[in-house]
Amino acid sequence: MTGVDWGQALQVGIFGFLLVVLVLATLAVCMWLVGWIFNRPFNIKNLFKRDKKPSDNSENEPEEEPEYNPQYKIDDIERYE
Amino acid sequence: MIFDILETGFAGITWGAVMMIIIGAVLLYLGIAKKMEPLLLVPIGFGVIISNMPLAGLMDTIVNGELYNYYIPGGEPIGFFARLFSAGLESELIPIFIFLGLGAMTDFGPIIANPKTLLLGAGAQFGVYFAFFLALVLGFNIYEAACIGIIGGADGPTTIFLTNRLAPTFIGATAVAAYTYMALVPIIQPPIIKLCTTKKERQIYMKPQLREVARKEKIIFPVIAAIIIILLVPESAPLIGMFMLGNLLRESGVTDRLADTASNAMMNMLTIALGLCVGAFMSAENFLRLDSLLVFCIGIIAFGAATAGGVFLAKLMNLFVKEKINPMIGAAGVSAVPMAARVVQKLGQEENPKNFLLMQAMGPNIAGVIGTATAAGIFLGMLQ
Repeated sequence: MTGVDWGQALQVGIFGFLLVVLVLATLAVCMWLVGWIFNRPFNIKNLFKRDKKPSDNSENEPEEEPEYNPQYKIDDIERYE
Repeated sequence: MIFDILETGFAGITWGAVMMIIIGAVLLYLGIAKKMEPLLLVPIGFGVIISNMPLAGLMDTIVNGELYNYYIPGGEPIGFFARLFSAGLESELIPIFIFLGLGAMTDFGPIIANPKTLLLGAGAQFGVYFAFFLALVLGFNIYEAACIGIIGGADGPTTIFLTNRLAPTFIGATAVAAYTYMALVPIIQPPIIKLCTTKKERQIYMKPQLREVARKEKIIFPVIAAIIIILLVPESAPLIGMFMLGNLLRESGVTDRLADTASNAMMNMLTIALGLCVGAFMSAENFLRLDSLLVFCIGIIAFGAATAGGVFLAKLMNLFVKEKINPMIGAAGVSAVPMAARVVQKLGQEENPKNFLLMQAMGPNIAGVIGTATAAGIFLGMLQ
């Protein structure tokens, strides 16, 4: 145990703590940016989906696919060959 | 008659050795009976017992031509544990490779999904710097104070890494204090969290599900994090570099074998070696000193201050964010992964049964590991 240079100690303590905060804050901002870039295309796609209005020209719209009916289930495919 | 032809250890027993054997037995008891960090406390406890056996010579070291039966940093290692200690800890191989394994075991998803929780990891580092100043006031020199302060981060490998560089004679005391307090997280943290928060704050509801994180984000994170942190704090490169490499092995999806080895077989081998080395270093000469006891006392204050620092930063953040965060998750900013996050989850459930804070608390918990390794790098950069 020896005498302490308080000037150096204050520098190490205060500057050190602020640097830890700076490092983690920088990392947080970078990751927020990366997340924003990666998730942006999906958001735009969703935005278009929501904004799409129902078309008046119903003739051009594809017919809805018939619902699955278990009655038509092919149990034994060999029968149809 | 037999004692004339075979040299036994009975004649060499000292009170110091007996005390250390009792301490070793207590560590074994805590590990086995109380299940507190058994993976570490069992090898540490056993290492303490066998290395303090008289005439076993496990930690024999030669300094200036004289043989000592305990390890002296910088000396020539002769005993088996002394050689293991020199090759594994003094060379820093073990703590650094443990960080590789930790990276391979860690899922960064929670901090990528909610990056603001990274700041809570910084809040918990307050304890490190608080203890640093406290140790200085109590008469430790600046190098020893840095090593004692880092105990507040509750990160064993980082504590060993820093102590080995700055104050090697303290390695036993700081390592055991760090691991003991990590094991005692469920006992130490709840009263501090309750003291720093109101019941209403502890009941704040947080959505349990975080957003889904894309695989590309998980791959990019370790690369970006390594570049940013090492650029800002070059001395943290060994720890942060290996931590991020381990995580990249896990997330890349093309190195499953390496990630599996790093997180299982290698990690287990290193844990055994680390535990034995730390335990073996705890000879009566190295450990039974007033300053070791002081290290333990300041260590627990550091740990408490780190917990409180995280909680208060979370409360401060609540003044600025739209969606309130439960301040208890700030307490998980200490590096004890995942114990601190589990404590927060348990307390959250007790206060508000609808709350599932585990995933929310994992963010600050992982940020704590990064923050403590960064703080160690900063100490090294400024003091070495």
